[in-house]
Amino acid sequence: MKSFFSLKSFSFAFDSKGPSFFEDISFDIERPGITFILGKNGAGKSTLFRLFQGIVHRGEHVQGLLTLGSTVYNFQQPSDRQKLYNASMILHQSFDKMLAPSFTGFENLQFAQFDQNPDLSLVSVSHDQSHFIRQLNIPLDKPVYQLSGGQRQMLAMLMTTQKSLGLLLLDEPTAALDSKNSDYVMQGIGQLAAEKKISVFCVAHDMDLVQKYAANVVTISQEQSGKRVCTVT
Amino acid sequence: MSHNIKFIATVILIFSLVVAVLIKSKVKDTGYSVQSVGAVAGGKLYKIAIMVPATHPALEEIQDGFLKSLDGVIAYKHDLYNANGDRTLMRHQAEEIVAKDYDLVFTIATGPGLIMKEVSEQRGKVIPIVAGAVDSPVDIKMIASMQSSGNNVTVVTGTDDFDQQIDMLRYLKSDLKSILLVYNAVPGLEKKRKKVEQICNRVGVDFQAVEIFNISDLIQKVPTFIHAHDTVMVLKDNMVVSGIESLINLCNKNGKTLYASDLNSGDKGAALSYGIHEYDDGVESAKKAIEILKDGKKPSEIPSSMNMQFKIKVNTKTMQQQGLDLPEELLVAMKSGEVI
Amino acid sequence: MNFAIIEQIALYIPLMLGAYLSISMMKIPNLSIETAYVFGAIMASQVLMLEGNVGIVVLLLALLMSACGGAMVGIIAASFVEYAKFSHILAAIITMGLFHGLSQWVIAGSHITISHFYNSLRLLEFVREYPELPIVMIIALLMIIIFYMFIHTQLGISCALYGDNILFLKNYRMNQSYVVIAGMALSNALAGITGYMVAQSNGFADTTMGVGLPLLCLSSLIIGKSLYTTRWPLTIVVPLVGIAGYFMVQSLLLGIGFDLRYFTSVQAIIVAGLLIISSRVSRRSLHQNLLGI
Repeated sequence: MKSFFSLKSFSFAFDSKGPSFFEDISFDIERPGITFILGKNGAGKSTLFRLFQGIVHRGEHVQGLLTLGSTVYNFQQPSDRQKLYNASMILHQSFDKMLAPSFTGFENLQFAQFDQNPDLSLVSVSHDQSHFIRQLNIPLDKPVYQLSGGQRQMLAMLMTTQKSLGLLLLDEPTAALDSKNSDYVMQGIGQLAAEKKISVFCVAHDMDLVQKYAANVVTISQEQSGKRVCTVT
Repeated sequence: MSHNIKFIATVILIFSLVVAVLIKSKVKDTGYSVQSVGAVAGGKLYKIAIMVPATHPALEEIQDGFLKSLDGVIAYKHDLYNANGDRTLMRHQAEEIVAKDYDLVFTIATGPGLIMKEVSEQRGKVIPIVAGAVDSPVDIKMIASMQSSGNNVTVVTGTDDFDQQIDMLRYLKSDLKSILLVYNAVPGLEKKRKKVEQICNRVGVDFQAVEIFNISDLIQKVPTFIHAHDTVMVLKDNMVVSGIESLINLCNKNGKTLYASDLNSGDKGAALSYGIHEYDDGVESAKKAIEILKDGKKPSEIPSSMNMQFKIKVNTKTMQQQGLDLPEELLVAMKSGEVI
Repeated sequence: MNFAIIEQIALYIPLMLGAYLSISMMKIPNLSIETAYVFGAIMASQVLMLEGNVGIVVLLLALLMSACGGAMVGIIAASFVEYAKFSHILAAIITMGLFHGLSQWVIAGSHITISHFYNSLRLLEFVREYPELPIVMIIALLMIIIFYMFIHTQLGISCALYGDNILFLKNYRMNQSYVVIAGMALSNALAGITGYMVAQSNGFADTTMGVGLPLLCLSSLIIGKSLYTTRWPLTIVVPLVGIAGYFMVQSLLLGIGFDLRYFTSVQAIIVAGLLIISSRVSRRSLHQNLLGI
């Protein structure tokens, strides 16, 4: 079966002269749905997320191949990294980074869909809400800074899924949500992942959530001075 | 919410206006000084507007000379418009002047002169303008020619007389061998540098020039060159003159004579200085104003003029340090000179 | 006198729209706007030297040249920020230095008289005493319309997003460099247009004509924001109300006739007062940048 996401011979070091952080890691994700990444604090989840976006800082050393569906990205090619950057989207733990607070929810949703090079086409803000969005009960006509934390997190989630992309990374997406909304949102993401064939990775510490919604689980654990990865479920 | 803001903002505004009025009454020379002269029988009270671009001692000198020369000749009332260095404000003040009923406008410096001329022409109000302290008025098309302006402006401009200036130097400093000219390399001053260079070549004095682009250059560049010369000369140069203290120190330390082209620098410590008193600019301008107001002449009928009343000033306190030794008899005998 | 104020306000409207775009919307401390204003006037002055042209052509060319001159300044300043990673203020200062020399090279000096050339602002001389008023008002109106349309486009909104949340564009994989450079270019182009019109109205341009401009822009924006707060897109009213307020305050103060040496100080007190009051009364300090607007 063709895998949705695969990583081959992936190695990473913070300093090209220093010790490897990730050494020769390979895995495939074969089941559609949400992949949870688990690991202790400091295991390297955030670093992995950053690298999955193709963001490499000066002095760091990365190599390996990342396959999303049918596209292969070579970490050593800057152009591939840029393409990977443009094809991925991350929802930060600090979700306010994803929102424009002075604008309304409707506007935010619209603006998240802008082209990479914004052109001079006139924008009219639509007030349509899909069924899914309506169920979330977010007041979309108020300026975003007036919404509660949970509402803002949900809005940020919606916005990140508006764009058509290959890879969606979620960092603690339900941290501010109550259990009802948590379930609803995770179900929505799962559906989206299946429908639009997006690879979704999620970092969470709530094991209930993992139990309920994980299609795949990747655990990062550390051996004596070396990181390793294994896939489960 | 916006009601609140507007109300409080209005309160603040009114408060500030009250403060402004208080400032007005506190400061004595508010510009509304009424000079009436009993001796001038049947003299009309003329309303004069004075425009200055900023607050500066030289500009105040000109203003002083102007006003004092009018005293006793005509009865007048004057308003002072100070643009605080802001061109937008200057324009606004010019519009204000045109809207009111003045008999004459006296502008000081190029900016106010040009703007006053433009605005009066645009609004179709041909109010007579005496423009003082304007450089190259014909070049900047303020007037058609020095003989007849062809419009409602007459100008008092400044000029240089480098021939006389260098002659003076050679007369007073018999051991003069070479001059170091320190100047800000802008186009207007480049011409003057060339003139000075020409004259030096003609009379057989060695000449070198140092270009200055900002005030720190005075301390950085000049010391390297100063040793090869016995005299340091500066022009009427805003940048260098604003840093004249550092040159004075330099010349004092190295025993070189500092020769300035403005008299203020002489007061500050230049051993020799050659120039006009700004006060005389004002006096010359006042003469024209009187012709316009009292004799009823039009500005186009009054030829523009240059203030040629050059003075040479010797600073006896620093002249020894700067290598200029002048005998007592010479100082007393100097006719057109000033000694401090 | 009343019309003189209207003419002044109309002259400065393009500048205020530009200042609003970069300072209020994009929340950039755009000190290069002064350089753009001067350089726009200087570039346009070169066009005026071409003889034998139809009036409207001269006007359009002058407007185009001044806009390009201003845009140049904006592009260079923004490029320093985006590609050399300078801060906005540093970039503005360096740009100011560069253009100081460039300006003097263009006009071979520090001052150029343009009163003897054809004054294209006088194309529609209806009222005898205000020959430039009709054209100036038309240009101001045109700029307002164009600007209003602009803030409804993707690019215009992206500029606002950059100011509202500086990480927004990056996070949604939009080309931030492009937005910043385009925004600065447009903002400074508008400043250049006002620079040309003011120089034409005064009859001359020189390298010091922009002194006091940042204060004018900031004061007007602050006055406008204190008196009128709304959401996008109606916020375009802010710079317009602001500049009108600025000149009215100035008129009022001139009318009183106090010692004008302290004019700038009194004006500053008023602006500071307005800002303090408005920041205390407003419910939420909506994203104040370093300049507080």
